[in-house]
Amino acid sequence: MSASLAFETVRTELERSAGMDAWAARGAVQLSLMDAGIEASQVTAAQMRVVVDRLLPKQLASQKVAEIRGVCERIHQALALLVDEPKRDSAERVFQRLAG
Amino acid sequence: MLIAVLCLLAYTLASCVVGVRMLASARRSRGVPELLVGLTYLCAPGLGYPMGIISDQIPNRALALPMNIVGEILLVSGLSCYLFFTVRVFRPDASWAKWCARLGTAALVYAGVAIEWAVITYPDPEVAFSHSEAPLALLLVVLLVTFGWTGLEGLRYWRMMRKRMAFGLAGPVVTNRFLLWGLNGLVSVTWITCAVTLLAIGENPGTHPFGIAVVSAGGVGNTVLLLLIFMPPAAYVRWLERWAARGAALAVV
Repeated sequence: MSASLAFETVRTELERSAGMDAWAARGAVQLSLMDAGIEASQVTAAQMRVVVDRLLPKQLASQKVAEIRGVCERIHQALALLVDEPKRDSAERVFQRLAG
Repeated sequence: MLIAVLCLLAYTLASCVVGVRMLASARRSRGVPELLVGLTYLCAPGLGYPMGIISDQIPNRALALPMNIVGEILLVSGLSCYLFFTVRVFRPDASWAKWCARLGTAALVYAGVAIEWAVITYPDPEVAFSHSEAPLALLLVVLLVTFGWTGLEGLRYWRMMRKRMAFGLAGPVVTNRFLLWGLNGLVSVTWITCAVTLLAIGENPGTHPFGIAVVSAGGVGNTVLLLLIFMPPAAYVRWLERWAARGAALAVV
């Protein structure tokens, strides 16, 4: 299952800014998304911004990442460059339309 | 018996309305999920299933046989659409899920053809039934798996949506719709299991009192759930929103 662009953007930024290896960065984002109830393949930039604000810092702290606030700020800047649309219909969008 | 007929009639009518609404919605939005779910409800519980039941009551074979065949085709097509709806919505990237839907469709087509072959070959309904027991059992098993699968997927997604709600990433109405979808699948599983069990012990679910009671209750349950999923009353939506707002306020306190 391929991850969304927002997911890959955060993972890449964690590797670059926090010096995490690929697996640790992927794991931190994955665990944060699980806590938010979102799948890596469907997460949008808007959803990811909330996850970075509210859940990612806890994961980064558990991995002893330094300057968590600065890392999250750089992730926000990277996410701001993304177009905020998922690749295809998510289950949530379909269910939104069912009563339409 | 009259109550059972009325309950199934309610479910049939609700399915037809939902099916037509979803097909109209699919025409507007060009959405494949709407098309699949619309075809499901219109073809299977809306037309195919009642046509099968009505054709059994018609003494004129020249009229009953074509109706039975068309009903079976609609039933198989509708159930296949349901399988692909589940895959398209809940597991779009999983190749195992696509294979399950294809295998399920193949099994449904086989069962449908075998059942109709028995109906065409043996004019006596009891003899035809005795020759179609194995494909009928296969059809019911696929039906059970189909409803069970989509029900569990709905409940899995409901759990995820509840987590999203805590972060303001999902609304209460759509979150609740996943719960209703899950319950709709599980209610169907319950009454189909009852019918399968009665068939397995040699009873006719259509005449056995327990079978009639469970199928009637299942029909009512499915009808209510369908209406709440696809045509929720404004009062229900307001109640959900008030309930969610109260929950959020309590979380802040």
